[in-house]
Amino acid sequence: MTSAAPSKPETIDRPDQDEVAEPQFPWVVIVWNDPINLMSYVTYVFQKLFGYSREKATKLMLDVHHRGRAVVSAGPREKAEMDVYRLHAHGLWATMTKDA
Amino acid sequence: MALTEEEGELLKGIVREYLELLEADREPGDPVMARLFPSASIDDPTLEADFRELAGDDLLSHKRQTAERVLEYLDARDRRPLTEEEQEAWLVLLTDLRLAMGVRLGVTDETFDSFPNPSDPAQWPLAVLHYLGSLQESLVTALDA
Repeated sequence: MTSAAPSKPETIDRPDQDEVAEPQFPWVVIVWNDPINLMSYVTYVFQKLFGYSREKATKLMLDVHHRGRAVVSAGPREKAEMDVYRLHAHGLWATMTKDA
Repeated sequence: MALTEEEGELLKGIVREYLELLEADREPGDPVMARLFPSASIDDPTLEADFRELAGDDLLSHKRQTAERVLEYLDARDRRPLTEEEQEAWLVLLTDLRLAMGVRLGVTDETFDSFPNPSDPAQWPLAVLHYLGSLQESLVTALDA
C-alpha cells in the first residue's frame, strides 16, 4: 500500500540522504485493549504478523491488557499503514500516530 | 474439525448473519461496524480518511472472503481437519463474530468472569459468545501445540 499523494509525484531517484534525514521510525502502531478478544489470540496475532517470539508477543499482549495499549511496531508511514491494516484484518483495534 | 450437527447449524446461521451485516448499508455511528472497521487514528480525521480510502474496500472483501471460506467448510459437512489457511480463516472469523456480538451485547471486562445461566433465554446470546470463545481458544491452542 502507498499513501495517496497525487499532487506530489515521487522523484525517480531520490537520494538516500533524504531517508536518513528522517527519524528512523517516524510512525508507531498502537494496539488498544478491548474486553472481547482472547489473550491467547492476541499473542498469536503478534507472533504471526510481526514474527515476534512467544515471549515478546506475550509481553506486548500483557502490556495491552494491563496498561490499555502498547506500541507494537514502528517504521515509515507505509509500513505503519500496512501493519494497521493487517491488525484490523485480524480484529485488533490498532491506530497509528507520528512519533513525537 | 470436531463439530456436532447442532454446532454446525448454529455456526452457519451466525456466519450468514455476519455476511448480511457486511453487505448491509452502514448506519453512521453503528458501534458494531465501528469495531469491525476501526479508525486508524484516534485524533486525526485526515489520516483516518486517507486510510479508509486506501484500505477500506480491501478490508471489507477480506472479511467477506474469510466468512465465505468458513461457510464453505460448514456447508460441505465433511469434518476433515482444517488446512492452515482454513485455521487462519476460522480464527479471524471467530474474532469478528465475537466482536460483533460482544459490542452488541455491551460486553465488559467482567462479562467473562461468570458463565451465563443456560435456563435464562435472555442469556443465550451471551452463552453463544462464550461458546465461540471456547472454540477459538481450542483452535489457538491447537496451533500452538
